[in-house]
Amino acid sequence: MIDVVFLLLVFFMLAARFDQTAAVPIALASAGDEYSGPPRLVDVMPDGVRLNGRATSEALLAKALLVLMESPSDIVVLRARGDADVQRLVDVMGLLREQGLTALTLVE
Amino acid sequence: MMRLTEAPRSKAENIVPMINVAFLLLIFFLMAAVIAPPNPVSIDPPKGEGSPVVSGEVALFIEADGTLWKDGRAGAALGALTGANVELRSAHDLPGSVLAGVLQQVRDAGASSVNLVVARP
Repeated sequence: MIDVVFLLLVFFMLAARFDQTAAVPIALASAGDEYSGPPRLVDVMPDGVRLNGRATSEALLAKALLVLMESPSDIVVLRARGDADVQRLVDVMGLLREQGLTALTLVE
Repeated sequence: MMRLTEAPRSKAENIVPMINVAFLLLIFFLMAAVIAPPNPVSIDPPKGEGSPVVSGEVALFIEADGTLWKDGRAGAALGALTGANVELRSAHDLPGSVLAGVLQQVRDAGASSVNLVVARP
């Protein structure tokens, strides 16, 4: 019996993977609320961001977006430009989510 | 008749505490272990903060070169995903436009929610 117990113990010690992951929800434009209000398109480049075509500093991006929104849960559209990779997108998304803008979608 | 004294014999060590500790450890790992199906391909996810993970029904893996894995098969067609909660596990150096393309396919397939998995830094 003790052998069995030790076997199970070792099995779970090896099989356990302590999760270090988190999830970033991406809004699906079709489901849920429709897009409302003025255009909120953020172009993400490896070294900067543009809001509706105008270069903006990342620090002011959330503020500039909030002006265009009725509530922080309005949809914001992100688009990867240049060689922006997923890490860069996640960084910008994290920046916006910190400011309370949680409805983010990604388009081509 | 002289009574022969018994040879000194140490008492058997009590091993019940050790079994208790073993059971405790076992229960600890049982609770802590996340039993998940093995990933078909090792992905280096982007780092970031996010909400706690709720396991999606469909897990899509996207390698840095754009190969999409679904149900353990590479290059599989997405098929219908109506109402499914999708978990996107993408490599951190995948071009953002490719991710957007996959997201569009997932939208077209009718998924109800998409979560991008990130590693907490």
